[in-house]
Amino acid sequence: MSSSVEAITVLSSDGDEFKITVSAAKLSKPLNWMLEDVCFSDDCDEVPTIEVNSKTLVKVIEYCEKHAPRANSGASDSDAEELKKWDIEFMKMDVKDILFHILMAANYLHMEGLYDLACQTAADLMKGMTVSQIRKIFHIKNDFSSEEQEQLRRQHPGCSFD
Amino acid sequence: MKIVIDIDVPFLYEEIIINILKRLPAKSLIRFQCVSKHWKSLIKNPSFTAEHLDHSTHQNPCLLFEAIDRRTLNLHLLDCEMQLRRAPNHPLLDYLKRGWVIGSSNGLLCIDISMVDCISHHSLLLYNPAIREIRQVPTTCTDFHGFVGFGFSPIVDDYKIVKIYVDEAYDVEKVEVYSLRTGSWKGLELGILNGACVNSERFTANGAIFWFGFKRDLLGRNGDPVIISFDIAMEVFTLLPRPALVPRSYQNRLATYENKLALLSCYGIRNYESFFIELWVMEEVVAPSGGRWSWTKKYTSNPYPHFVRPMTIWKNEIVCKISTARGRENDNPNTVLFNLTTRESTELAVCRSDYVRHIFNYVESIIPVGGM
Repeated sequence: MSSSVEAITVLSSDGDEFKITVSAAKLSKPLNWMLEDVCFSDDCDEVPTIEVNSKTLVKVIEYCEKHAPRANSGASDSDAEELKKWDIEFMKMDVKDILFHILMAANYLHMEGLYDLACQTAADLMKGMTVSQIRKIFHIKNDFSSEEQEQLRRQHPGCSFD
Repeated sequence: MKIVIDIDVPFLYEEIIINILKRLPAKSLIRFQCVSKHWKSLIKNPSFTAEHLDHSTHQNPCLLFEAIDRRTLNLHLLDCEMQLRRAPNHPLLDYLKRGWVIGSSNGLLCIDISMVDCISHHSLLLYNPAIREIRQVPTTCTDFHGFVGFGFSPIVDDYKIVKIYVDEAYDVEKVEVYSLRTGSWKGLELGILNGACVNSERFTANGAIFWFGFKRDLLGRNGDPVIISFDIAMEVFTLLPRPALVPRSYQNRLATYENKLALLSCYGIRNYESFFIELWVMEEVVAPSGGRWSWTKKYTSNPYPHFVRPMTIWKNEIVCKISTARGRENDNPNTVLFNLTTRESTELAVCRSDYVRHIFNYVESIIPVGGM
């Protein structure tokens, strides 16, 4: 890889092109490997595709660009505090609309920080949900028979199937 | 029948679902068992239970306050965000009212209910307050005088209860061990405990249970003070040395510091105007002369104006009870934390009017008490 390259172009699964700086791309293990293996000079024709839709990829790149300086150089406590606040704002998103896509993307791109953050955000949102809300967002059908429901209720008083 | 698949919402891999679920409190997980058969088996799976415990151990180690209000046992939890809440009592505990927490390990509590009026046998319960599961441990004797310990060993992946029977002089007479895995008691050889006496409450850490004691000399007098250690996996007792404390140190208590056995003690100076807490750590040494263990003093607190009883180490703090009359008043602090790095002390008023008997390290888990 030529050291002059500062940003690379990637394609989303929808076929849109996005620019991501090299230091930000390094937050993802597969992208990092790609940077080491593939030629990314200006005359290189090949544009790698990331199997993530455009809407999600925009968010993933935004996260990478924000976190890259700290990941590369280390940060002071006040920076870490500022970044924590930024993460909270960044994660204010709809579960179905985008959070699940971010989870899949972070898992696929091996981005530990974003994956942990997204899992924690999902857990915090789920804590207060009812069983039927959980079924709805995870597309799960209630497959307990009424006898099984009765048995579970006996084991855990207050257990609700709705 | 019409099947609608919302293609915009991805189906998450199981790996991702597990990573989310392990971050949920036990209360939510109990509820979410009702989502589907698959989720129920996912949550009940021992490997998930272990993953949830691991996350909870690292992300939210809590303190459990064993508090007594008019002879009734109340359990309170203090979490990492310094939020205090009452742990739900099981209806059985509410009925029995009295109980004595023997030990806390991976979210399971061993509770001695022998002092309850209606119970004539020496009785123990295993209780997981997070999932409100309780189980009575089979009784072996009607009359028990001695010391009980409870702990977990990852080597054998088992929880065990040890009963050390002693006579009036605290000399060890008999030892019995209960395994949660086998669900039964068995007797143990006394071995090195022959001629030893036990004289303190227990402490559990790193797969072992510890008590303070003495080894009698040849004339039957109290010899060197020792720490009696019981290896939960091997079911073997070992005697360890105690550190050379400041004379007249009191309230020695065992704890763990950086995964090593630690000893907390307190002493007063100038006619008990100020008090100091000390932290000693036991390390393995290579000494050809024989002694395998050596104690090093790691910390002495700044002077503190009240008589305190060190109870445990939590995160980076030594947790102490403030044992003055002042501590019993409603709004006065009854607990103080000494930070090992900043050396600052933080006073807390926990459980208000209750009398705090003991403070344990505690982590929330969904480990079942009904055998393994």
